[in-house]
Amino acid sequence: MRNPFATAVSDGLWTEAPKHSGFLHRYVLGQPLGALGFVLIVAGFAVSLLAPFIAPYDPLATDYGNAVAAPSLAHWLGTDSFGRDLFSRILYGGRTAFLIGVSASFVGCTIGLFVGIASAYIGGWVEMIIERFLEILLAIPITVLALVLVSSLGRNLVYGIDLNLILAIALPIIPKMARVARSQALTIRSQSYIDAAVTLGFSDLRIIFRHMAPNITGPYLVLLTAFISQAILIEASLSYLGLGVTEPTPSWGLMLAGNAFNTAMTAPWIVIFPGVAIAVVVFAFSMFGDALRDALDPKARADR
Amino acid sequence: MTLRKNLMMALAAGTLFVSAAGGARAEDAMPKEGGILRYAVSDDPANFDCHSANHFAALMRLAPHYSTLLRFKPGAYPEIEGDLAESWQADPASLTYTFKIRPGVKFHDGTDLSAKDVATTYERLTFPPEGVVSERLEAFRQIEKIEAVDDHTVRFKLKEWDTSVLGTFASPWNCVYSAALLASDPTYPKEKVMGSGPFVFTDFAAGSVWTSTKFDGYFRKGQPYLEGLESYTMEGPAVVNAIQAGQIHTDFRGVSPAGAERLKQSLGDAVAIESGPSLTHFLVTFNSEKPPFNDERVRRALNLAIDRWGGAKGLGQTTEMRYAGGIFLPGGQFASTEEELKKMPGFGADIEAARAEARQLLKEAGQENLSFDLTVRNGPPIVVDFGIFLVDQWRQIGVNAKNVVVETPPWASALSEGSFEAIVDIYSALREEPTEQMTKYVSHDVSARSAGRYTDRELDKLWHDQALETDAAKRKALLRAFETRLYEKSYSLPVVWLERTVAMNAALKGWTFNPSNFLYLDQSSTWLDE
Amino acid sequence: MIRYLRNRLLLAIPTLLGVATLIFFMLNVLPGDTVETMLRAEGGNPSVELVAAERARLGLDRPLIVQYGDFLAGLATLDLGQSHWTGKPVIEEVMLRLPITLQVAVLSMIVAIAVAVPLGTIAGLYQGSAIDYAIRIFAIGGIALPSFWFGMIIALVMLWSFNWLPPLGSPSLMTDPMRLLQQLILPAIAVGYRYSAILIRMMRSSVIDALHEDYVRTARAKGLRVARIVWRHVVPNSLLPTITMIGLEFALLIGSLVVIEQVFSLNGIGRLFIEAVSRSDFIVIQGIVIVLTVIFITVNLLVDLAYAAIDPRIELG
Repeated sequence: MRNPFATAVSDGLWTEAPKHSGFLHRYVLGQPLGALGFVLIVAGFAVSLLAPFIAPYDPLATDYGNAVAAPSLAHWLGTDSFGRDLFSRILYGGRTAFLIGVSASFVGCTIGLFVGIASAYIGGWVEMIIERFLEILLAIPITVLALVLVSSLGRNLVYGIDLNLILAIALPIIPKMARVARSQALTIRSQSYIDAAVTLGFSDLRIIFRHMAPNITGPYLVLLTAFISQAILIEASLSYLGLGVTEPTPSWGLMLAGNAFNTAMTAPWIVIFPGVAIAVVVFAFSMFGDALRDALDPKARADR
Repeated sequence: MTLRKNLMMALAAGTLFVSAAGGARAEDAMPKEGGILRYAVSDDPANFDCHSANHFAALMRLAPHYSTLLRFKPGAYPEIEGDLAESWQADPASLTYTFKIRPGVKFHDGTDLSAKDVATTYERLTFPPEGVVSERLEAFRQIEKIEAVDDHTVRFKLKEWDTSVLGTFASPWNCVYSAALLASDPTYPKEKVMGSGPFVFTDFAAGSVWTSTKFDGYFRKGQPYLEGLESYTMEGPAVVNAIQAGQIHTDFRGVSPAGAERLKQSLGDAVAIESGPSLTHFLVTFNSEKPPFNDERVRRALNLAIDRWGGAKGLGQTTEMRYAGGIFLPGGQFASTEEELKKMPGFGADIEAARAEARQLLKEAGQENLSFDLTVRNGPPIVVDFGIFLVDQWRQIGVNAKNVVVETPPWASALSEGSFEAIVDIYSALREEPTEQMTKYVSHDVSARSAGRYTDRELDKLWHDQALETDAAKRKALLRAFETRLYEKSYSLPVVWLERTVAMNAALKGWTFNPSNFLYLDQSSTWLDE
Repeated sequence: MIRYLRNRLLLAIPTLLGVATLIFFMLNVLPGDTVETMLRAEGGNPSVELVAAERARLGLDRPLIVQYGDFLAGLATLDLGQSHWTGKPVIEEVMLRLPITLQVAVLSMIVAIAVAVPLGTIAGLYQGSAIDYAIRIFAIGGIALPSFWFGMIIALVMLWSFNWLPPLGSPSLMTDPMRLLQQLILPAIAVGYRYSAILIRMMRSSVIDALHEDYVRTARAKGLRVARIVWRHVVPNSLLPTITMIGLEFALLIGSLVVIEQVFSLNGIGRLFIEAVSRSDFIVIQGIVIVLTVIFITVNLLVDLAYAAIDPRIELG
């Protein structure tokens, strides 16, 4: 038997419908790694948000007299080859990572959620067409699809944020979420309360939004978290390749691009800290996501 | 050594300067024969035709296989000597250049090379037939007619006298093809490498390695010294890694300062590093058709705000952007001296005064809150770095410029269609030749290279006159007048010149360091001391 | 079995057609193509006429729908068109680079399985212990570390400590397998670590599942030695879902390869893809996507077949 969710999450299996009864308590006690992940996420999110107040320097301010300076009291993580303060850049880079990671995953998962539900609810030829289309999208590897979109859409900067980049990362997520949402929705669709709602003459939209979507919150949250970490990694990879975020927007992947690795031996801080920053954030989201899944999924919990 | 003299001049002029091992290093010992030279090349050629190519990476692969009419003399940059030409005659009166072709030159396929091959090659470059792309039309615009007078004589008739054309005949891009092969297929050079150069093409694995072996029938007796060449497609930090591990001898394009520093530390005497100004400079162009850039005061204010001397000093610590300079190679034979430059707008020594003037100009123009987009090409990382530098400079006079980094195709179409406010551009020249260099800065309708969409007949006239001027001092005066007017009007501004730093395995000898990325790539006199 | 195979292959055709259509129109929604990129590579300044002529020569001036028809017609005869950049057939460009990509992919899988099976088994057997936590953190590390960064760091460490780098050029599997292995081992480790992280978790939870199965309890009750139970029953049964995972996560592997080839200057299909993207060589981009999709579909089919072959309970039909 092929698990229907296996394609959805890159790092594990979702096996049964979620159960909501007070998992938060169990979660913290039973999932120390997840709790750690959660703390890291909150901390990371807070420092990124408060970057303008925390960062000791303007992340874009160059200071050529102080280029490639080793970590010191003045520059905690040293400076890059423009003399820009690495600590400040990493804080602001966190903003980019969170912003793109969270919004790409949110957009992708949310669209996917409604596409999936709609397809299951409407059924018939609409469902068939949606299914075909999703299958086509699923046949193209995520990074590849994102790269194709990046190259075809070009850039569309709004307040220094590349909306097309977010779109490029979000699109490949849609079919994965839609798949899960659809099979969950099919189960819910057959429940008697939906039949009751239909009989009562509620509008389709109301049924989808009020009755079906809330019941898929569990898997939605799990996938959302899982895809945030993927989206952050994809953003970093694309930026590293010179196809993602562009200068001067601080981005962890971009900080590793170009000649950064040439300085690795003489100024290791330039490549170590951005890499660690990516790893820590992705690590946090992965652990949190895992733990969330276990907490929401009684069977998986029984296993651990 | 002229190069060394140039470099000394630059040093004396106080330009920031690190070290130059000098071009003469290689000639000290007798060349040894044998060995395979391995080097990195950043990219694959799109096809094998020199005439349609414009990227130095293509030339690095193709140059060893071809001869040219004239060439730059190894070890004596920028001296020119005959390659296929034994001797030549310039006759301004009849507007002709006549070349005597060496007898006994053979192509790799064993056929003889005659004047007809040279004439057919130049015919193809100057008047490309249907289906053939020539990148050299601009350089040959003065040529009216090409004829092979006899088997050993080629004559070029010009429309107008131009001293700069001679250098064009030494351009490594003008690979001489076989007339017989061209007759059967005018596009043969795209797919087949067949010339009369020192090395015979053996194989090319796309994306990987290009190999060639010594041509035994090369017309310079005793050359080439090397048994063969292997060039690997690679770029970025991998290149420096490979030099460090001894996998390749060098990358003739050069390495970044950080890379050079790392090699020096890890290899010590086993690596030889040569550096000096390169014939590549970065410029920023304003769209003179678009307000507020149609206002001279605005452009000039933006010019004055750029601290070229301080910038070169700062940027030069970690990047190749090391030399402040005008439109001519700093320290080169045509450049203004530092004193001359410092009197020109935008090059003053007192940056605070200049910035105060800039703010005043903006105020007069009613543009105190000026904000605009600077279009930057997402090319080599250093181009993006340059954009960061400019925006930071303008910020200091209260101007809010924004880097808009775009991929090459939209950047290129912005440049050609004028859909930009300010745009960053790179100009890489083959040689120090004012006539060619200045095409980047004359009126839009005179040269397609110029992107600022302005018409300035005074600049055009100065450009035209200097090309005809045979007296060196008078020509210099015209060049100075051109520069002064350009910087005053500030249509398009040279900002910084790159340094070229070539790191070579110490065994590599006989190659001539020079400011251009395009020269001495045929490796005819290169040898390995291993 | 044959019927199943035939049905699956037939189903793949509309998917491929859909992918082709989607990619084609995605790439052509906006103007801009390779012509200007090429003609302007290094300060070149093409005239408007030259650009138009080149465009005409490459057939880029034709209506989109004609170009699309042309593309589909070519596809039917396995002709992916000609690169706008080099003028060579796309299929030739791809085939030249495919072996190296497949070789790294296979080597990464071997690395991943070699790491994941023992670690996953141990973690599952000692569930909740310190060693379990250590292995789980190791696994999450594989997912969290960007593989390009990890790859570059291991390359630098090798260079620094042993002055050793993977050899250059393109050694062949047939004539010089050792040199090929040296060239590919670092990228395979970089990608394989990431891949193994996923497999470890799968293996671990499968082992835990298996331990709860009745037959294991029975075997224990019969007094069989633990090592024997694990070796004969638990591991083989846990391998099944792990193998499925290899296929399901193949897309992830491809994604990592695209980036890692760039890091190690490997002349694979991923590097060709990035080059094509930076040159806007759309013909090559769409060709590569088609080829990758075919590989992806094939791998999933193979996994299903392997799954059926290993587990007699599965019936294909």
